[in-house]
Amino acid sequence: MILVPDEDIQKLVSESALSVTGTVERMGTSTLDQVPADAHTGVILVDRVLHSPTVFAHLAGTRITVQFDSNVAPPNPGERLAVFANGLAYGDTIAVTEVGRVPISEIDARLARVAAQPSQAPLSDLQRQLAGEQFRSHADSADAIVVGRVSALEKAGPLAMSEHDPDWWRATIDVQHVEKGDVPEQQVTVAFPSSQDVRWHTTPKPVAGQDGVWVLHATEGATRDIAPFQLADSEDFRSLQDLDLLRGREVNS
Amino acid sequence: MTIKVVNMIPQSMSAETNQDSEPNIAVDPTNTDHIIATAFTPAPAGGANAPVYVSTDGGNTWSLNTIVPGDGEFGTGDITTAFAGSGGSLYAGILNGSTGALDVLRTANPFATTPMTLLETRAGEDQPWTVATTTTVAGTAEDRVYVGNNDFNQANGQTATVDLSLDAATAAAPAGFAPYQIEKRTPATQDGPPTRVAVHSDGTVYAAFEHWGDTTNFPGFTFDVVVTRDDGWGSGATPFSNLLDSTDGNAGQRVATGLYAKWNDVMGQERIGADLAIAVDPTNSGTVYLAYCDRVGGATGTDWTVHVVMSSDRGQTWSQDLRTITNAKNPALAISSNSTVGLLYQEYANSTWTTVLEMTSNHWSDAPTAFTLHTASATAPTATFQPYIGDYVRLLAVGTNFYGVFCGNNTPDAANFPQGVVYQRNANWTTQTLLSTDNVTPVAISIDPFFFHWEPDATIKPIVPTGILPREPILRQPVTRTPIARYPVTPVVRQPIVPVDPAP
Repeated sequence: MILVPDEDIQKLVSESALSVTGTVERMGTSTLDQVPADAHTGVILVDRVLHSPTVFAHLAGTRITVQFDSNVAPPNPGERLAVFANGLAYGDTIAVTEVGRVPISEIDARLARVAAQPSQAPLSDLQRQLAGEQFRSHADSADAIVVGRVSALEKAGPLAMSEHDPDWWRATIDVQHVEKGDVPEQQVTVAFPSSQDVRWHTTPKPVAGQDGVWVLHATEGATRDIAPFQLADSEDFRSLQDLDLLRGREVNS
Repeated sequence: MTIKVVNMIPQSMSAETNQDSEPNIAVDPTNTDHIIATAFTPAPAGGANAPVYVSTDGGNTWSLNTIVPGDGEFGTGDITTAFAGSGGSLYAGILNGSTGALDVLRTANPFATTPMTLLETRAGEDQPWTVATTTTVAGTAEDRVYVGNNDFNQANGQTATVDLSLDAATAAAPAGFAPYQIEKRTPATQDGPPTRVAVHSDGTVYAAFEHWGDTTNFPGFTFDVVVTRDDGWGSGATPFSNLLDSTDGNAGQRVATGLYAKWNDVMGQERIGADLAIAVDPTNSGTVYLAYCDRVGGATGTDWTVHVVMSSDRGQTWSQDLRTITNAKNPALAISSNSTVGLLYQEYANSTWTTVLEMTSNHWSDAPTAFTLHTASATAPTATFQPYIGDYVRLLAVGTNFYGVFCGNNTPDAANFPQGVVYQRNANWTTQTLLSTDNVTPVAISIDPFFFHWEPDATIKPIVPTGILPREPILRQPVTRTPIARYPVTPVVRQPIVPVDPAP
């Protein structure tokens, strides 16, 4: 039986970069010099990663330092628990700051449910839901959303003279469907930073013939002279199948 | 003499595949075990702050502290750091990873996990370059901090700028920081991105920049390399006005003129177009070295060439090239306490990036002492953004030692490291494969930051005066002694010595 509701777990997942299950080995100690230990500092032997960035997918079997919330009674050595946390310091081991914790017994049922799928992270379904919610939240902040195909590309300003200049280009999108916003039904022009500089490289770079869902933001200032809308975020282009995700229907993956 | 090279990615991040490019380094001159380094490394597990690399054992081992405000998708933007001359404070000039603005930051202890303090922020900036020292005024230590930058807020395209504070250690924001335009001529559109600073303990401060000339055929353009100087820490109303050009009389001696570059051209997957370094001899503030890059072949050329020149008259006149390296970038200069000049650069040839440290005591009159630190493919991994390996590297001298950082392909192949290397991250050197934290799962190669330290004699460490440490009075308590108990001595019983026949 799952004692902790999914929504509570999902909230913890949304607020934390990683979560693990493990056993508290020692309290009042730290595995990293730069993290001084107090009564709320403990070392956990990780037995399972529940969710994490790829870089920490293989933490099982290692010891990590947890700076537990000083407003909550610290756990006892020997206690098994699930910890949700954000990163603090990284050396031979990692140190994290607690966002929340759950007694292991309260999520055992969830863990058992995914045990038959060992290749899947235990909280991956919640992560997918969360990613969907984040995309919908991002789309809510957009001024327009269209489904369309890139039909033209052109440089939209003088050649950039700063390393971090966006180097604006203009894409023309043949609109097949307007999901949101006041957009011409035939075509819409969109400014986008073509620069591969570290500051801009994650922003979508439309290519000729590219089909998909375009999340558009109204331009401001000088960029308004280029186009009425712009791409500004790595989430501003999604594949056509993500239209269902946008509309709140989960997509099987 | 020893040289050590260390891959700085911590063991716990063995699975990372980021393009951790554009490195920088700061060494605490009063405790050279304390070193901070930076790169385009995002916070590995979320949070509001980007990381710095920290070492408390002279660079043998490294970890990450997330203390830099403004963690974006790629961590922080441009970042350089410098330690004060004493006291251990660390200063940083960054382009905030979230806002893109120039932020000047300070911390009294970069080895703790407390975020750095914001002292100054300004939008429309590029390439902050941080230099710091400490001087004593009327018995009080004052941190002198200089952040060279390219400030697009300046009028007339005169963007070469130095933000400085004459006493930055403890004051509340902005802690004395203010921007000073150092370009006195009118460039075509703007100055180049790098503004580099070198400080001498006598108060001489040099600042070099690239004055853009003709940009009508941009991305091809011409430029002059200009050196400015201030003889009083930059404390006057118009800092960096003490060195007047011998021809036009403006502040800023033009060292080389009419140079050519092609903006954002690419060599070995790395963008090129703006490389500059300056260093002053700690034993003589009149001796200053400069390194810059240009395309010698002009508009029809394909080269990117490093030039090293020197001045022995406080920047007024300059030598011909002391060193010329074709198809190289990221020159970095430092001068040790015995006036040895160090030059670090990254050379491109045969689809390979090679990182070299050269040292000379006679201006390259003889062949320098040279070490190839790293050599590896320039075609792998594929660049995910620019800069691929960095718009700059950094070399520092502390005493007679040189410390530096560079970035490159992290394939664990011993042939790539002629001086040897230590990896913290997991790797199989037989199969030349990086491994995840489980020491089993293969990890793709990427760009990593590498630290190196050259020491003239491993057994002799330079003595760096640190002043007299304040001590509490020694409290002496009365000593109560109990009588010393003596016990009867048991006599040793010796057996008679029996002679033994000598061996035949």
